Amino acid sequence: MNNSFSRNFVVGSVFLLVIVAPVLGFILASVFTSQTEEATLHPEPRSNEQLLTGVEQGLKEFDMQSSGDMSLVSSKRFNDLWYLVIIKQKDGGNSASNEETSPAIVGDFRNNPDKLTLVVPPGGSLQYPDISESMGIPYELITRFNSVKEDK
Amino acid sequence: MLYEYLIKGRVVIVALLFLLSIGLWYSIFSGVVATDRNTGMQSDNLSGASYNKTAVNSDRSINPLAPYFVGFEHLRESGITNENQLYIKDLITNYVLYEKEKVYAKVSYVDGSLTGPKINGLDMTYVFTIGINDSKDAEVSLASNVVTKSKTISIKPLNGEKTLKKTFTVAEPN
Repeated sequence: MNNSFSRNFVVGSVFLLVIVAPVLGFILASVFTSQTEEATLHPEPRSNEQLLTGVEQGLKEFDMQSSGDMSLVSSKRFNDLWYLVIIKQKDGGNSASNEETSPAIVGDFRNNPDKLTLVVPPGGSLQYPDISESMGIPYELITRFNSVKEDK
Repeated sequence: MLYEYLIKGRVVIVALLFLLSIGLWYSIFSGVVATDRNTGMQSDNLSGASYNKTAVNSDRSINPLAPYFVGFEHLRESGITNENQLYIKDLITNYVLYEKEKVYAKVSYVDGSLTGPKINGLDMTYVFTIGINDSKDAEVSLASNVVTKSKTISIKPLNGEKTLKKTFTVAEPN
């Protein structure tokens, strides 16, 4: 064998390609996959503008029309994936009595900065008042949602 | 002449091959680690039930991160009502997402693990084991009060971690 391709060089190269590369590949895959899962479960917080847009877009999927004069009164984040938002809508006319405030539930689990999911629309409710039938809505949020509805 | 180039650049060539090899193995393992890419009907190891692997990995519900349940029809056959199953699955969903922090998980009823009903005063109790992604994970118990209709569900991890317990009082659908 030529000195330039010494036995040590060949053995070292094979060791790198056959043993070290797969091990490093596996470690990197594990680290990046867990980071992706972490990012999926803990997305960045959403602004009130994004939440309001999410509600307005979500209403179309519920075959509900936005009154066109909808505003977000407040929002609270639960378990990083969920938001309880309080929406104020005008029914028509200009008096304050025509304004209706109601809670809605928005989910942020699409791993997409432009996509929020309206799970319970303003004025809507869960089929069972104390569970979300495996949608994963945190119980603290459900309790708060029911409390806001009762306070109306 | 080519041979001379190979000799001179041998370290660079091995380094490039090494990097390419890491990239290749990374792409292979990232597919394996992220989700099992298999599709179609498969048999579940823990429950023995058949399930659609495509559904486990796909966008199947309002919350796509929520777990997929396999073998839970056995609970109904053993007398656990549909409504009680709804509550059990709901608590398991919260457990898997927020305690275990697992997404797109497969939750299996462990075949043969169900005991009950045991009558204790006004409570009727069932206990069974669940697995997550083919590993046995926790013991689930349901105690439903035959008079008040309240139900207490607890999920006790087999690894000794803290038990998740919740009591539901009224279950009248809207």
